[in-house]
Amino acid sequence: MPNALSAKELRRAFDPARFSFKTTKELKPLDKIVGQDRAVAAIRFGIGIEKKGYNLFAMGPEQTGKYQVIRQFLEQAAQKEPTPSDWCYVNNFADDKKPEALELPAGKAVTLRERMSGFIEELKVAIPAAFESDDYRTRRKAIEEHFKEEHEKVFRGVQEAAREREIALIRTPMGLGLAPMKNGEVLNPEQFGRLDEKERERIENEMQELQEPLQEAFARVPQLEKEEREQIRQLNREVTTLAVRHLIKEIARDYESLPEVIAHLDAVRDDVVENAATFVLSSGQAGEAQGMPGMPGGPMVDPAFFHRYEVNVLVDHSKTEGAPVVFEDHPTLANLIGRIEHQAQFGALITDFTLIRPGALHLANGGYLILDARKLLTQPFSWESLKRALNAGCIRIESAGEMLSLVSTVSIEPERIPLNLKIVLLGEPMIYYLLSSYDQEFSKLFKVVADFDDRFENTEDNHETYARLLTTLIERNELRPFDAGAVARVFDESIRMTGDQEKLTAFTEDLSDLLREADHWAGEAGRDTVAAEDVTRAVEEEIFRVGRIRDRMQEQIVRETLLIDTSGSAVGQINGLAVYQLGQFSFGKPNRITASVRMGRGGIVDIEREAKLGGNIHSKGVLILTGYLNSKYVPNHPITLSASIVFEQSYGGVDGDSASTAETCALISALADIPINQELAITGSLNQHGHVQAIGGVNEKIEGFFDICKARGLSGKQGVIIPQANVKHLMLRPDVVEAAGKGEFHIYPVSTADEALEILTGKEAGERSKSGKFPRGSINYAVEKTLEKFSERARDFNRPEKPGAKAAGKKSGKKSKHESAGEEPAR
Amino acid sequence: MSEPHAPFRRLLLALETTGQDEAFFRSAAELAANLGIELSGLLVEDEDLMRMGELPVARQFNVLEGSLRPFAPGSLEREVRSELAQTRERLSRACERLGIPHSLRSVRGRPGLVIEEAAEEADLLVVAGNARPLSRRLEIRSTTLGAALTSRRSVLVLQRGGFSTSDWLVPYDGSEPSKRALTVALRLAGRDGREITALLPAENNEALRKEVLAALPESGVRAQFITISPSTADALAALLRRVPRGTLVLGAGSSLLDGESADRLIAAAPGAVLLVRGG
Repeated sequence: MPNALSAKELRRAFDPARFSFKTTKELKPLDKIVGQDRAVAAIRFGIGIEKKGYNLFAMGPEQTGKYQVIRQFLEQAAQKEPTPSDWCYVNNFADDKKPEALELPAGKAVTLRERMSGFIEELKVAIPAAFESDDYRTRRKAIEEHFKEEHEKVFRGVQEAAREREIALIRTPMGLGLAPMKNGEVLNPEQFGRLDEKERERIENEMQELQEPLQEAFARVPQLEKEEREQIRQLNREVTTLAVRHLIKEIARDYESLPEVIAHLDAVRDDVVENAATFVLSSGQAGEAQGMPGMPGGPMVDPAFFHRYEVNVLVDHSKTEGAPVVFEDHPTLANLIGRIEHQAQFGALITDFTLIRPGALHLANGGYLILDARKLLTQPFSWESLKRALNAGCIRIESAGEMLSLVSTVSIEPERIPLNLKIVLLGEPMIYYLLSSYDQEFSKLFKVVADFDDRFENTEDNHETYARLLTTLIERNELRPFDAGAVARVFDESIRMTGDQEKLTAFTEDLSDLLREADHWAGEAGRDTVAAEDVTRAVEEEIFRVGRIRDRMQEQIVRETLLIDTSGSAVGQINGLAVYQLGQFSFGKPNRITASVRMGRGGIVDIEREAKLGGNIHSKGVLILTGYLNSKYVPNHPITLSASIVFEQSYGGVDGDSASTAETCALISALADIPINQELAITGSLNQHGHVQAIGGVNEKIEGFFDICKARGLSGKQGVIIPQANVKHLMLRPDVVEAAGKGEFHIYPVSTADEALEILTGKEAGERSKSGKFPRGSINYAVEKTLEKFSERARDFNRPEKPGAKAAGKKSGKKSKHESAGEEPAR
Repeated sequence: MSEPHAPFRRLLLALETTGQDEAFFRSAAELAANLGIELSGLLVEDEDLMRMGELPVARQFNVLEGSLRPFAPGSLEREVRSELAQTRERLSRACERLGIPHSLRSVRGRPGLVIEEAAEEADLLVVAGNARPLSRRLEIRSTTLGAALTSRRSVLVLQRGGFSTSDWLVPYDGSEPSKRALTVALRLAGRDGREITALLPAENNEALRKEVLAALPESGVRAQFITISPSTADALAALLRRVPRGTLVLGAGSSLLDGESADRLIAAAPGAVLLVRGG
């Protein structure tokens, strides 16, 4: 029978004396990533390889500080990389529905925007001034007079032709009138009446002859007007070009090496020339703008008109050193690929290139973008859009409404921007494996996985490094320094978090919480340095805050509402142990497990399963114990057993196989009719060969039973049986360890069900001898005997009855064996 | 009701049936308001035009169709009546806006004779430079302008550039006509406390400048100076082409107005032209 563990084995408490420092003030924060060699190698590889699809998936549990590690690593790498280009959108003067993207060296986009803004302001003065100049007026008036003269010349020709024929050409309210005249006066009807027929005919013919010259003259009028307009337009172009040219040349000089910018500036110049009238109107000189190209329909100039010359800086790297590292915490479609905003104007939604807004892809282009995989996947269209952008190698801004064809508002189609960046997705392993399995594109786009460990090795070599990691967290959170005792307590809790004496947790968020809370209690105590008791108080206070349910459950047990014996013994009844997880808090609670047996062919009935309260793993555990019984007992006979196992007073469902050893022991106790010591509780999963295997939550389970025993008064014989494999996971509360040290509470490690049975019953389990028999008086002997008895009885029932026996039975009124089998007690 | 120092006290608007636009009436009304006098309108129904409507052989050239058609019986008479109604309406609108008393009558006859006769009752004739244009650039000189220029009264020619009471352009060479023009310009400008631009010949420039400056204090008007060189109608016309706005004030009998130069200057002027006659 195994001995109870010593107190020393129950908790690997750190001795502060082992640290070389007095407080964390003496320690340097970590300047490198530790304990994540595998992940770091992957990140280094992922960053180094410049091939399509080599994006990273940083895989690891939540709160392991993946983000900080990745960010720190990427920033170090990014500092050595060149700063990427600025990007801006400008108007496409050929098609304003398709804004053009301009790439400029880092920091140049904002300069261009400011230069263009100043340029337009200058033009608002320079163009009207040019049109007010004497030179312009003279040239324009010369054109106008020339054409006026041309018009008059045309009309004068007709007038002369009319005069020669003594025909008056007079302006009437509606046009031109022709009438015969004499001596410079139009004939009156009497004078005309006195003319002979021949003269009248001549006059009519003469007037008819004038029709053609008149037609020609008036046909020439629109032609002359067109020519005049063209000459004035040309003059205006020249004047505007003159005003614009030197201003735009000044800007172009700074962007000579950027042909796209030069082309845009050329387009701006041409557009300004075409819209010179608007500049003149904007200065309040409506009269000057008459007849100028680009004369708007109304007298007012829309202030939005000048937006067309603006530069919408999408990405500005003027203050970026190296490559950008961007973390998008809320990766909606718009936050990821950018968006096009709209403005309501007279009930309609309108937009232009100035309303294009960048997304994280724009901001991180040329660098690194960190995204949370879960958030990315839960945002509609974000994941698909990201993949599309990575596959296409460019960013296309598209709204969800457009994707679903839900929005018919007139919008714009900005030119796509080439994309060259590394994406780093942060996610849990489950997400990685799901994506790998169900998304064919995923493995093509995220070829590098950085697998983050959730724990560090608890070795002497690592202790100082881990203390420095704590120092990093302390400094990052701006906390008081921790003394060596406090650090040692944090180490203890770190081990407790991993549930393994040989590991330290890598959940930096949990550690940070503990450090912050300890710092708070140190402050409450008026200490400048955080001490061990502050860490202890932080732990206790947290348990107190969240422990209401646990306390209620324990209270119900102590008040015997929930029946758990912690003294005496009982057949077919055992104290199992369960772990409850409520949020971040987990605690153990004993559960009474009972077993009943009888002859029959029903096998072992798992009542939890039958009631649909048992999970699959629990059912598996019960099936395994069936296999164990089948292989261990009565090898030469079929087992004829009907048994049932149940978690008493369990209403919320049971899962896991950690109770399978307890269930086996309860069943064996029932079969052997040997009582189990109720002062003990047991946990452990069982395999078909009777080996007891490791389970989770061993510390919480032990503490759960300890708390009940302590509440009722420790008898000195109480304890918990645990798998031998879980000894290394023990990190029990100091009060439990103290009780064990005093011999008031015992922890028994076992490797087999037989060892557990011996502790629970105080009897020898018994090993099968060479003759194939278990030693008489042993537990296993008793079990086998019971099973043999069941088998024989069953055989008797199955034998055909002798003739007359039935009748005799009926006559005598005695029940047959078969009939009585149902009523016979189990043993 | 006229102002005591107003240069003109009786203003006659000489109108013709080919229509004056709203701007013409507005300008005339503003001048009348500036002078504080009544605006009298005289619509001249050109005898030749009215006879034309009675002749069966007369034809109307339709500019849009490019064809000759006989006048429909009574059509010309109707058009003239319609024009008279519109003229009355425009005049009323312009004057009522500024609260100016006004009147309108129509007289049929030869424009020269009618205006000559009517001018006896006025000291300033206001006429349009051109009849309503047949096209944007095809403008026919108004019949009233021809008549007004030959009258003995001062004439204000309103044309497309509009009439400004704030900018006055006065060629000044020290001659009597130019002195008359300067006096009138100063009296008109002084009413608004504006400034005049004196256009001086290069010769004797400084002395002429002093003369102009000497004339200013009474009026409270400021002056600026531009030199015309040479002091010819052509040079003045060239200068006027460069000036953005202003009313040109010329004294009748000025050396700048010989031959056909009046037409050239009227054409080159950026706005109205005021021809000052009499003592």
